[in-house]
Amino acid sequence: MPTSSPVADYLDALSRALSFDAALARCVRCEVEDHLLEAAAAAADGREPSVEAQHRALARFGDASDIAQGYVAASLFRQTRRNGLVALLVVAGIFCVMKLRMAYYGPAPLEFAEDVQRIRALALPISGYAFKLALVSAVLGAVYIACRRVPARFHRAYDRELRRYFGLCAVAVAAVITSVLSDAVLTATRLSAAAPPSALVPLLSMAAEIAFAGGLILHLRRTLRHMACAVTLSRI
Amino acid sequence: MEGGEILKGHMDMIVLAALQAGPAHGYAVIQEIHRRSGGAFDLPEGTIYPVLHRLEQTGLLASRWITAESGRQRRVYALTPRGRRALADRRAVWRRFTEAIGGLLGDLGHANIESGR
Repeated sequence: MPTSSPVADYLDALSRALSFDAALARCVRCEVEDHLLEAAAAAADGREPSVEAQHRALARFGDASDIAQGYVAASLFRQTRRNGLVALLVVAGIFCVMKLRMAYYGPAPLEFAEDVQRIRALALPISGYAFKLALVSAVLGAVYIACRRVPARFHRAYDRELRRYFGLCAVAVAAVITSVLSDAVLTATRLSAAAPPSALVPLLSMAAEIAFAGGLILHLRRTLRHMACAVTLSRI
Repeated sequence: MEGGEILKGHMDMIVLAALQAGPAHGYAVIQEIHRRSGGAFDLPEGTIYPVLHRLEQTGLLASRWITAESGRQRRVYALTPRGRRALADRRAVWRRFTEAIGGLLGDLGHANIESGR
């Protein structure tokens, strides 16, 4: 396909309009290109489609941004469902890592200095409650978004539903960060009080927790950017 | 055709019905809709693709990529068993609706004739 043809220009415009979802944009471009070339060939009675035939096919096809708008709701729906799943996996991952670290420490109680003991007495319930809050909000968010239906268009009611979901996600992320930070404090105090045979496992487990939390934040950020593009395109 | 907005509300059913005969790519689906509606539906052809995408996402359609005779990549859609059931349900609802409206309009027409006397 020559890059300067009307169909190629249209496909470029469509890809730009769908830039909020790169994988979808590639797929749609390929599918629409096949359609437009077939329509232009049909209009040209099997001969090489002229520029006029391409223009006629494009006129029948519709405006690129209108077509792209039609994809917004389904694309966001898929992205938010994936986001809900990622939040659940992150919470489950952090739980496994915490349990692994506890098992590594073993049941033997440790003696801490009084000031360290005060810090631990504060950090321990914070870690527990923050983790429980993260779990509850991640489960609620995933269930909430899984119970939605894909709307035909991105309308205000769907926008409100997504904002509610992102509210739950924000609570989950804040709780995960709090839980990870308090775990870091607990791990640091433990390592300073009595170094286990190797500090590698606690340190690696903390690195894993931080990586889980970072992954969730990045994924949520990407989904929010996706939504911002979608809102702009839908002009709601 | 007038009432493009009304038509948009029924696009899912129209697309499912067009695929009832067998798997088809987007262009063929549009041709089938034109043919079976006698050219009455005049929506922009591109509006069908987001509908196909959404129906696939909801599990009513399945798609696969094939290489067409032209050598281009082509996406072919087919009804899933769930899609067939959904089409049957929508067809039943539509029949009840048209019968009800038909009855209502028939009565109104009769009333107009009566009042015009």
